[in-house]
Amino acid sequence: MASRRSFLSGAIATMATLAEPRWLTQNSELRTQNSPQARDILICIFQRGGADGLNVVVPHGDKDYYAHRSNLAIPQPGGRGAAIDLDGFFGLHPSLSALKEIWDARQLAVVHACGSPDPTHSHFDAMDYMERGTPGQKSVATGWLGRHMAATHDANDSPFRAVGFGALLQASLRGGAATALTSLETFKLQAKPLELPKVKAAHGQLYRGSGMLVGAGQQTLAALDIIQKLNPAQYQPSDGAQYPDSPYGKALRQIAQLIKADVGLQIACADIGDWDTHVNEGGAEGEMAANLKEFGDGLRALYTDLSAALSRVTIVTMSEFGRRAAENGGGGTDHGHGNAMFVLGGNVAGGKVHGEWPGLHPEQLYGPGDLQVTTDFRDVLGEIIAKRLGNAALGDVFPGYASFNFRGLVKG
Amino acid sequence: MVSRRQFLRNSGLAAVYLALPAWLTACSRGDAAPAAQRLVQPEVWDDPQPGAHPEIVHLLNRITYGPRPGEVEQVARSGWDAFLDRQLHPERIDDSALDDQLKEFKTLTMSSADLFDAYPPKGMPGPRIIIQELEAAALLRAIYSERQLFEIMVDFWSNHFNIFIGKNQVKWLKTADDRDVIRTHAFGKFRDLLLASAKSPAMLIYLDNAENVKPGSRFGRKDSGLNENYAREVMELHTVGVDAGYTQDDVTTVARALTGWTITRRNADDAGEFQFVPRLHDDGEKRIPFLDLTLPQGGGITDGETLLARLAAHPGTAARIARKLCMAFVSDDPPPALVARAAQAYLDSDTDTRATLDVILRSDEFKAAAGQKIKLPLRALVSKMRALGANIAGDGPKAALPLVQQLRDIGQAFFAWQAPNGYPQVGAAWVNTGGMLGRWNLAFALAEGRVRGVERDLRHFVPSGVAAVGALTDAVGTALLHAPLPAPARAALVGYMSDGRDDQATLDQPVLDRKLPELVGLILASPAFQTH
Repeated sequence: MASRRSFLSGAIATMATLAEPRWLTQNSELRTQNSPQARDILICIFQRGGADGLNVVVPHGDKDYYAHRSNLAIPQPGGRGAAIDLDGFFGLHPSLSALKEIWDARQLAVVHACGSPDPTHSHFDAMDYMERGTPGQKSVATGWLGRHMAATHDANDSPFRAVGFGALLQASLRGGAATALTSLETFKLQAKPLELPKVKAAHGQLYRGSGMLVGAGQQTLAALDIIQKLNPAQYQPSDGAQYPDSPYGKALRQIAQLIKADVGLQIACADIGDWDTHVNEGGAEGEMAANLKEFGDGLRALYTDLSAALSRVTIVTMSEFGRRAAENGGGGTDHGHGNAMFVLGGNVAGGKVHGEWPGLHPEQLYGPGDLQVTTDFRDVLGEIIAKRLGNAALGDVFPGYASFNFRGLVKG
Repeated sequence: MVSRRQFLRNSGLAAVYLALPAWLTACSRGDAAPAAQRLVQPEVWDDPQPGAHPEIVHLLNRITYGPRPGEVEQVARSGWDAFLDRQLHPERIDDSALDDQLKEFKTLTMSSADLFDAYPPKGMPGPRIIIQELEAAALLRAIYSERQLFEIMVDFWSNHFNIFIGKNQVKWLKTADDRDVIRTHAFGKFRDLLLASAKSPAMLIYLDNAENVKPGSRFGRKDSGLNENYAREVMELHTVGVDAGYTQDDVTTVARALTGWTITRRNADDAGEFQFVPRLHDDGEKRIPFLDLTLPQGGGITDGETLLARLAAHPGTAARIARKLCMAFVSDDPPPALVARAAQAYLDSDTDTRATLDVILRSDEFKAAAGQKIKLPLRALVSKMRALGANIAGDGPKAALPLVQQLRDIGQAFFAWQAPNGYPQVGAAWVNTGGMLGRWNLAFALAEGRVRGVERDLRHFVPSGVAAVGALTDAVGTALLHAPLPAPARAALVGYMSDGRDDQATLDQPVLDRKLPELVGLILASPAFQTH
């Protein structure tokens, strides 16, 4: 099997006259066929800090929810600042009104009481375990997406096959030769214009050889060449989609642009932070509500912008843990356990809250007072990988996890 | 000593006068500056031995942010040991040139209360100025301080005790933390640094311990109670680490021990200072099994002080601090034997940073580790500035802002990391497509003089009488890398400079003027300059 290195060295040799790469043609063929090899594009959004799932997807039908949160609870449907009812028991936080239409179109699914079996309340450990895909273990150095990509890569992979937005590449992408991006518009080598072609040529020659540093340099040079052809400043989202004006919103917008530009994108990661609401969380209004609005509006914009491609896109959201059932003394909540994940796309069993609701009565809680986990996050991600990304070898993607229990979240 | 005018004439430069770097300016004032400041001598530019003094180059690449022009030769003359000794005793180093510059930065020496008064939240200019001055000062110190090892340790501890300056009141409080906690204790005892950090108003707000109170006590208008955030992070990140064997119960007990550690109100005369409030403190007995510690009832503030002292002296803390220091100075995966010796030195010296550093920096493992680390973005930027001998034109914090923005663009702005774990300290975390492109573009921006306010004179790197492309390339390469260019790299650079001719080709002045910045940029962007 030809290696990524052969693609890159070939790419550099022909950098000046890069004809349409073979991976581009190949991907187009993959898309137009309805073959078993056809793969969705997967977009993973990580809410960093432990999002309070109980206030994101509100169990308004559970009276214990209201007993635990006399200040922070979202009112039952029908009042001011009330939850938006989904199925008579659960509702969306009112700031997520942008998602209601997607729910009604049955293209948004929720999995509640979902997460990692590991009891840790450490952000760093919990994120680490979730992104490695090995709860409780730090011995595996790669991420679940990195392993999936390594197992499914072709001879002619695009340098944009996997993209992570942010200054630091998401740990889930480690091991998969992913590209970290912050802005497509400024993604170019900036040297004196008169000398630029010759400087680029010399620069490319300096990055010959092997090793992590040189490899990253070569990948960057290949990526620069592709972006040069894209004209990112002129991008217009489809159907009036309006992304939030934030790093998260910009990341989603650029993911959509890359998808529509056919650069071979298959996996994209983006983050949204500020979920660690120990104090001043607020209920229907306040700090978390504002953050949720940005979160939901971004998802809605992405959904609208990609409407023509939805049949081959799956979006999944996650957070390293949820938050404690009871509010604390500072108007917030402490680190918890079970949480809500969203899955959106054209092939999602939407309009339903999947999983088993364990209840919030004191003896139903986990540890110091957290929501139980009744669906392992690997069941959610594993089902998407197997059914939508065409990779049934889940033992490599999630080593050490044998008893997958798909919930029927996606078709395929 | 050589005057500035004589220097320029001797090095064969046409006389375009540019502001010279502060460390050079001190010489020309005729101050009785110590030998380390008289770095630039004419003969340095004609160093005939590329690759001489590799052990000095390695030392400078680790205990400073990178050699300045002529510095390798200067340090070689005074000697490896002498230079290390000096850097281990920053109090003996005269940094008055930089200190004078920083006097313009009024906020650095103001109390938190005065900062609240002078820069009210909804006023103009608001706390933005405080943040600007702190960031600019941190960057200027990294580039220009003679106490380089001290500044590296300030950055190390700032990351270890990470505080995000954007959170609420922290904007007004981080200045005091930087000055009175980090900079005061960076070369002292870790137990003093830990205690100062625990009482630091900036930390009390950042990790919410200011709101950690005895359940049921009235605090503000809300019912209130324990907040475990700081208790968890002080153990997980600041001291013993997550594998030390503490349980959730221990975290809760530690939180109880630290209740009532809060800060004075904003409208108080001494706003923003540490305050222990007994009625908010849980005074019951506390047992912390993994520390083998029982804090008896009625301990008051000593509950927290005793606990923190015990954490500082814990072997788990020693091992973690030792490992982090070895990662910072030796390699990303340091030899366990060295880590163990450093941990022992930490314990034997009653948690002394300087004593621990001494063991690490004099070790064989350190000496053998040249070139094994990838530069983090901060070091990438600062080492480029130092290698160029670049100057920042103008005084006051605003002059440095364009360069501060460059640092932000490559992802390592000071005090901007939001999570308590601080910026990743291994190069691999930063080696990705966006990160590489950022460094390359910074290299060309600095080399071409496109960063507003940054001045450099590249003709310092062109020895007099050199005309051939090959010799020119060698001279510039040696001046920046302090080692010979590897043959393939040299060929690529000679090819660029000569437009495909060979290394005997000569260049007209206009062509040299156009290509020299690009040559410098290419070298600063090359793999060799990304490692140290």
